[in-house]
Amino acid sequence: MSTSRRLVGWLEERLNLTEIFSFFTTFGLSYGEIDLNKPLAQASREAFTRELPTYTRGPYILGVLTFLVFIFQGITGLLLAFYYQPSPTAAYESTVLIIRDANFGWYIHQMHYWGSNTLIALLALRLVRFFVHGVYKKPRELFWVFGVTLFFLATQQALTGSLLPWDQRSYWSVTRGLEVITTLPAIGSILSFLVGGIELLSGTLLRFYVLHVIFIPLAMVFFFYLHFATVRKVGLSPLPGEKQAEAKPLYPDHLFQLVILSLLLFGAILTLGTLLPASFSGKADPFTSPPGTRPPWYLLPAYGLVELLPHSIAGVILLLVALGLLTLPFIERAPYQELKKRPIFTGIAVVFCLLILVLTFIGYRRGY
Amino acid sequence: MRSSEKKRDGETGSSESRTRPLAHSRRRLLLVILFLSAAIGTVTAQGPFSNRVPPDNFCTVCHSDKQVELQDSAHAREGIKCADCHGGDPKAQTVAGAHSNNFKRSFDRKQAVELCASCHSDQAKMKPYGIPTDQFALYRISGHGQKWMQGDTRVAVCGDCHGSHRILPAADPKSPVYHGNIPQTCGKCHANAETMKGYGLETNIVEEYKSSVHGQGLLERHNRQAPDCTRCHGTHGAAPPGAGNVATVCGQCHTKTLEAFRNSPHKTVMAVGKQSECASCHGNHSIAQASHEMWGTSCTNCHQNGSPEADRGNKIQTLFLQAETELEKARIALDGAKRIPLDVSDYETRLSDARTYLVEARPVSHNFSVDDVEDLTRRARSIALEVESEVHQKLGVFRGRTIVLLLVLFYILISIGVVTGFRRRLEAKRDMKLEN
Repeated sequence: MSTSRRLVGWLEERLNLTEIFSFFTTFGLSYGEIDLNKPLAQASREAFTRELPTYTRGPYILGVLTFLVFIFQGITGLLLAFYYQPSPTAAYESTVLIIRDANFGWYIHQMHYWGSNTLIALLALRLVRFFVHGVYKKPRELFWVFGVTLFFLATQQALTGSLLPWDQRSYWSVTRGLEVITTLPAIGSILSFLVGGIELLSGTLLRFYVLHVIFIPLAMVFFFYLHFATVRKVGLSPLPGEKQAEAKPLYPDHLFQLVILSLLLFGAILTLGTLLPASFSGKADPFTSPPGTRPPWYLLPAYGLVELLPHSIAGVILLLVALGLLTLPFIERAPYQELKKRPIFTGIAVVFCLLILVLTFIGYRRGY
Repeated sequence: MRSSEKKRDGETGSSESRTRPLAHSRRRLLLVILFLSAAIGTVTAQGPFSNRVPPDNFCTVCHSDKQVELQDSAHAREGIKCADCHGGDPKAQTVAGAHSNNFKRSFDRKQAVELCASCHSDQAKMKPYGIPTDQFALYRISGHGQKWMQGDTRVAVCGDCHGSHRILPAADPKSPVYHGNIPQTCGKCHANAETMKGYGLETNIVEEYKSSVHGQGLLERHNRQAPDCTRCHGTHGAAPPGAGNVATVCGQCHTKTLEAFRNSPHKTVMAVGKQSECASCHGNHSIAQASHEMWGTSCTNCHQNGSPEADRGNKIQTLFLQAETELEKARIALDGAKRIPLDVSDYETRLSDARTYLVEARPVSHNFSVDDVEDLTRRARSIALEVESEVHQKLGVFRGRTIVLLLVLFYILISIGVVTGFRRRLEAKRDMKLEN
């Protein structure tokens, strides 16, 4: 008997390894129920050979990529937290230390920055794909609801994170971002209360840090879990025109695909970080607003609207849009997945996307 | 006894017990009114109204408007009262009484100056306040005073600039003679074509000043170091500086420039030709921000194009432009390094030294010596070149990141190849098993 088998045997007498292994099913890394009474070798063999709806094809990749980026953000964030100090007097200096002096600090910082942008972009793309393929049709309405919630959470995660370097660019960008968020009726006041107003004071940095490293990641983990739980219950959505999503065994197809995707993702984020590094300006100065101060790119459409209309009206519109997005599956109830069969909502979606582009442009131009 | 009284009260009490609380509340109301009256009386007695009719100055009973003007003034703060200037009897409680005793209702423009001078030229009176007593002497030699002595009463007298009753200290931003208000105060007359009629003075000088580097500094950027009209022309002795004194006047602030100008060939030539020294190139009221381009344009105002003097101007311009270009390149390199961020504090100090040499060269250039300018600009250029080259070397290390990226991407491709190969081998094995 090999040493590893003996070790597993020794542990199995003291620990329910199968129960620990079943954790992978929680986040969709394995699939289906695992019999906790079976020994680990047998239970894992069954899990690995079980066929499950595949994400090895194009559109399905977005979901697993999102989760991989989220894990990637967790790892890089943890490494940054070893050096980062969340106080206005030390935040900038500690970020400079990370970027300039810590081993691989520059790479980790850049990859964390680009990882957050990638996460938002992937979540947004995923929503587009959900709409195009009609993924949220009964009984998969919650796919959309959780997807939109995760998108909102990811933007807040990025916004709170972008303040942490406490440099001029981040400080003023977040100030503009908060101006947008506080226009939202009710929600804006609650968020404003949570961060202690719209002025970025010393306490705000700490609150943002706590939100960034504890509350929002936990909320995202919770919604990822809910999403996987729904997938396990109702299965992945087939593409329009198909009756059932294609299925392949977990090993080797899914696991190898996961490794390849992780490598590609790492390569893509590293490339972005190296070729388009986040610029870094001097320490935040609350009394000097640098030229070209804009909110982060994902808030530009909302900023454009806030700049264009009176704040109260813009806030109500933004809130209605957010609510409309969240409840889309319950508004658009036609049973067809194909775009052609839902022309009204397709038209609305096209106009919505065009408006987003126009408002992004206005928001960019209005940045001062 | 007491019990019997109580009993009696109790017997008759039904009507009394109704009236007593009413009487009680009335008494309380009366007390409240008395208290409030006393409080209001105390407050008003301590407030501004209390000074309106002081026992020793009954003038304000009738002339309350003048009192309002006077009460903010520097004079009122020092206890100077109406009668100190106007005479009369301030304690008299009749109009006739108050206006007796050498009472002077108003002063003409000649008397007004003498009245002010009667105290402000008195060293004994002014000593406690530390105020100079030469204002009247200076006024008499000023452009205004010269004409005043000739009997021209249209020229500015003390009150035109300082006000009459509400004379505020010059340090008070509300005062018309406050640093930032001087151009407006002078402009009241000097920008008024009607007032200036007959004096042959231009009326656009205030507008010119506002557009000048000095005017923008004072009025737009609120730089208290920027000169107002009085800095060049004087205050009480206000007069245009003579042609030979322009450099001396400008040199009050531009000391290094004056030093260099005195060593230049222009100093003697301009003195002979009665040219306005600094103003010959820079202008007077509308002085613009000096730029190196002026070396290429101003010299030919007097010297012929292609003359050795004009060539010298061109050479000096080239030296300045070269130094500025190098400094700009170094700054761009530093900005790039800061964005990474690299530690560039040492380079910033060195670049600041280089900038100091360039700044030093600007006043020195007014001696029109190419060698002196070259010496300083060369130092600025060489430091800037050193900084730029060293920063580029440092940046080069970071450019190595692209190589690291390529290596990692290559490694990723290899890994994907290995994983795919392994997967294919597994699939082949699986297929063979299935076939068997």
